[in-house]
Amino acid sequence: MKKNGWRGYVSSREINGQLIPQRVQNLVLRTYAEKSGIRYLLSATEYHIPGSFMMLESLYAGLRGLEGLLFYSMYQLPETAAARRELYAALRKAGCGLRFALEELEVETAADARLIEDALVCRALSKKADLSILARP
Amino acid sequence: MSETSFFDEDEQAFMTGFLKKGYAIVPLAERERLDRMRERVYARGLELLRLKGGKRPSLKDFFDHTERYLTPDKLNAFRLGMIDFLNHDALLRPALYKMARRHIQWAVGNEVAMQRTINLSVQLPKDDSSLLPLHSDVWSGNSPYELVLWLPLVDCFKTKSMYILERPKSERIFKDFGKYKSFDAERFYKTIKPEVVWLDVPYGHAVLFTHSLLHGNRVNQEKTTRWTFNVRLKGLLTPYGSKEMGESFLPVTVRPATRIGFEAVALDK
Repeated sequence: MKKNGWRGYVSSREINGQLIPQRVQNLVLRTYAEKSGIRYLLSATEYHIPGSFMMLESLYAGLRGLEGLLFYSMYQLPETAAARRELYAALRKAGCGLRFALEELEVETAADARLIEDALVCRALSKKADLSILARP
Repeated sequence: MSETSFFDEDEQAFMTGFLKKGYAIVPLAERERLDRMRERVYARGLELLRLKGGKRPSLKDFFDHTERYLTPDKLNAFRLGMIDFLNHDALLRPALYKMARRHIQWAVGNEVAMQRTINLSVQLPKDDSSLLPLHSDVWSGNSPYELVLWLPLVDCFKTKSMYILERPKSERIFKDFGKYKSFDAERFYKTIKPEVVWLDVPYGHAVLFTHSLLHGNRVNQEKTTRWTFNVRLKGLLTPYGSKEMGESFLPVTVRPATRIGFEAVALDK
């Protein structure tokens, strides 16, 4: 089957604690695609419902016709390691790539996937720095 | 050193000094790495500026007198071209880390996240286009757990270097910040000017400093050009600020105990 570009994937809920307007997410995807010389296809938008990955899972069926998935951010990956492994396996089976536009990272090899996994677990274990003390009058 | 201490004597002395001042000027190991890095920067610089044949300066002349080959209006485009080149060089980040590893480990720890992009600053003599006014990076949301490795490709001294306000003095300003918050950057600098320290950093050395300290640069009034790299480092599992894991930082030294823990966390789900 002919591969036909990279399907964008944006979110309507918070990403790593921040609500990013979809317009901004799409702008980041377009800019990344232009810079990387890849064909960007209209984004699928994940639902607002916490923990839902319905839109992502609905993309699995069409993977064979795509060069890959282009996420706005790596922090849109499924929350459980098992679901992420399933995603990596589905992409590998379909001969698809996975890229993250904000981070300008991609998963091509097992080593790439391990780096993303390390980064996600590391971020989950470490807190966000509390800088509220700086707002003290 | 007491037998009850967990630190070696030189390590403890370094840590005590760092905690007191908030920075340290450290010698780099494996000097040949730095020399090779400088040669790569020189070669790419000659390409970007199309300096060939009789126009080609010596390495020393190129770094010391960059102003002879590059005008301030072209400086930023040149700098960005150079940063792009440097950040496609897979050898650069490991080389910077390895050259300063001993002191990074003493100051940060041995499991480290490193900024993905190495920044380059080129300050031509008398040029006011690349100034970094007095600031603390924490004020713009960066994590206070980060340190900066500031590494020159030339000898840096006086206004060709950077200035810093040592830790107790910076902290005194933070405590009284209400007094200064309506000042512009120049008035703020003039207020603290008598107390700032200009760092004398010969080629082959680097500065490690906490970017929560007040620091900056001024117009380079010396006769030669400043060339410096800077990159942020932090403990892998310490809190993150506006420079996030993934977008800005990536793990570089994950040790087996932590990896086993990561995998246990992942298997649990």
